[in-house]
Amino acid sequence: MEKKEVDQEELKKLQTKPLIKYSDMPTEMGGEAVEIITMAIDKHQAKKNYESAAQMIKNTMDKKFGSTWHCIIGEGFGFDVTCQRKYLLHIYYGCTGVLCYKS
Amino acid sequence: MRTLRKKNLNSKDVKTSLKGAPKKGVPRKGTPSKSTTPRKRKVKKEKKSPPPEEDDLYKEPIKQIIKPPNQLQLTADELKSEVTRVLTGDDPNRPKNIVKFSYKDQCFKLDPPGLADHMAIHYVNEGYSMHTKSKEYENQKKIDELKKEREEQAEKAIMDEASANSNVVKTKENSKNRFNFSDRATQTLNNPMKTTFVGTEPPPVAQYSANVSQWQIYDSYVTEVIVSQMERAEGGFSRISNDKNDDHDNVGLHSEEAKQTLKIVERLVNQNSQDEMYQDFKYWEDASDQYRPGEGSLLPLWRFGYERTKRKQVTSLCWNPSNTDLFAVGYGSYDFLQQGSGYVCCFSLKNTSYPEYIFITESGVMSLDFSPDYPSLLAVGCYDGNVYVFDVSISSTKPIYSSTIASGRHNDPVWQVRWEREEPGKDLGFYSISSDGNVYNWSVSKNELKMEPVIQLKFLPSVNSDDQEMAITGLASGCCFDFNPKQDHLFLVGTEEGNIYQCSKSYSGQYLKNYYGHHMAVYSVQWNPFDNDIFISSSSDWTVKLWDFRQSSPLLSLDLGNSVGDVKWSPYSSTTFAAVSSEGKVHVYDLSENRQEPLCKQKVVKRSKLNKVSFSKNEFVIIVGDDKGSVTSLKLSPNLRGVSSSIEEDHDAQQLQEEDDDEYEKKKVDEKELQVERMKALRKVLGGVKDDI
Repeated sequence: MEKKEVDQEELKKLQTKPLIKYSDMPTEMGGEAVEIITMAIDKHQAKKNYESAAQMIKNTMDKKFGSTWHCIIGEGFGFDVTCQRKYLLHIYYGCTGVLCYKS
Repeated sequence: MRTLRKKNLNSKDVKTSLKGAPKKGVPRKGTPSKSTTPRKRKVKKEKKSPPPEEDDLYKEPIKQIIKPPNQLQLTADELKSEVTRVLTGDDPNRPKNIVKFSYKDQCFKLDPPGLADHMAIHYVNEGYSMHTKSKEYENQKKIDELKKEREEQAEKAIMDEASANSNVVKTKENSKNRFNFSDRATQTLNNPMKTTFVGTEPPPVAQYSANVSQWQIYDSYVTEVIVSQMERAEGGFSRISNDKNDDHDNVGLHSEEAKQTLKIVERLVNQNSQDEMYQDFKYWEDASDQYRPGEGSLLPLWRFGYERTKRKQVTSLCWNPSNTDLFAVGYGSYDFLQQGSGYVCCFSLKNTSYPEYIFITESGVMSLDFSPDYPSLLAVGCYDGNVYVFDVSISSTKPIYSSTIASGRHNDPVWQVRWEREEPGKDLGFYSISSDGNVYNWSVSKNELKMEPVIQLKFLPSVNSDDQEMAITGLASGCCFDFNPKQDHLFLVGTEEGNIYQCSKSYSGQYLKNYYGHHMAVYSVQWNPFDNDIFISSSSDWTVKLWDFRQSSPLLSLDLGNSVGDVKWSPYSSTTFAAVSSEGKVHVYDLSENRQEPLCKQKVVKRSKLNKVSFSKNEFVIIVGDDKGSVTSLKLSPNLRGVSSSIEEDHDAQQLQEEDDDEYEKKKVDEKELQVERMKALRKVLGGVKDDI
């Protein structure tokens, strides 16, 4: 019964709503970062050009919050990273996962 | 016997080796002795003890071995053992224990000096000689030849030009004099270089590992959806809850404990800086009152203000029933054309510099009331007709209940709100009155505010008006109301037309009684707290009138000389009341002393009108609000209190002797009866209706 109820609304949710899987950042920084990520991916959504989206995200984060950010966008990957504390963000957006951290 | 030719031998030797030794010193015949010792003494004296002579040149110095006393005493074996010493090329100044942070291993590591570290370079001169057979030399050769060619060409060109133009002597290029020329150079002192560095600790790092895959994304979205569905299923609230604080904010300086501490510190700092004022507030009794009976004075204490409300008018005041140092002030504007936002500030006498709680409303606040049963609930009525209920104990600045168009609201400013006493089985509620002529009862239920009209104020013109005049029908605009303390269902309503009506909660059709007396709007009406047949009203026609509820004309009318903003009975004396006028004066009357003149007529604010007044229940203090957004607190001098200073003593007594509860109660009852008696006596004098015995 639940499953059926979920189906309809779920699709709506899947469209363009980022979901924070793990965030180590302070809330306002996290909010800004999520905005930057969603903007970048939306901009390059047409051709599914994740590379330029990731580039854009990395450059914007560098400018705003200081040097050496790493941004990984993908539909299926695993990772083990060492990053500066309080500077990690891992979100799901649409059908991609985005990892963004500073080191 | 032939003597042997012998040299001078030692006698010992001769003896041993030969016979017939010649005599000593006897030269042999016939031979010229080469030895120049014809008669020689024995020269070899050194072998024997040397005789003391003057020249020591050829002698070896006398050797004497002297051992220093602190010399290490070693055994013979040890003396024989060999000790090896190695000479190394290490620079002794180089430290051997440098520690550096290794980013690869994320830890501090010992960095011993390498081979090159021990080398100190004193002078470097880079040479430029090249081997003739190397490539470099060939390249350089080519470059040099090219250069030379270019130079020759340039010279030629110049020469041609020169010769073409005129006879110019070719100047030889200056070449160095090879004979007298010598290079001179100096070398400055090269200070020895030193390398220093400082390493900071790198920022803390954390590790994080996870997987991202399509099914994980799907699953997490699904859980999100389920969670949000559950939330929705619990039903909507109109009750707005607090925002959750960040964990980050709850630690240290922003924690709840710190807030509490800061609050206490702030209060103490204020109290310390205003120590004299607090002493006056508690203990100052104007001694001159003894010498002038029938006169009193008001001692100004503090002025409460809030910077954002400086341009607003104080429209309402209310003391908190349980925390008697707390009072709420409502800010708004009476001016129809200039309406802004409204503020509600709760001040405490313990902290006179800043309000304890601040609430902002869209429209100007016109009326306030604290609920006597739930002292943290504050009902607010606004200029746009909305009513709100705030809870001062929660930290949100939004109202917990608000009236909307759906729930029904007034169409005109809500001039007064008043909570009713809680009854078991019924929701807590409050009443509001507005210029649109309606009195509504609002009940606060679980999650919303329900409105119920109580009465519509029909306008009944006074009896004295001419019949030829157009009878103005329609609704009267209510300005104020008050419930009878004893008989809860009765209440009085004052209107803008000047009439006062007595109504009942249970009977909404008609008025029980009309009181005609005022010519202009009645801004305040209040029952006497001790004697429930008397009430007082004030109006902008400059008068304050005293009524008996059974008579439709006033018992007593007092002219204050200027529009009266508000009048209030004193809660501890049945015959004392205070009124404020728009010239900034506070009038305090005690009718048992003087029925025509006020005991005190004092100007307390400059160039502003006083809008509201309120008595404090515990202290002999009144607060007055003016139209410049400030609230002034004043202390009543003994003559104005209308009662011996027994109230304060009683309070102190209660704190000290809890056991004598009964006695205290008795005292209170006695005091009350005294007041009632007083009022009755006054009423008799004024010619009121006699009580039915």
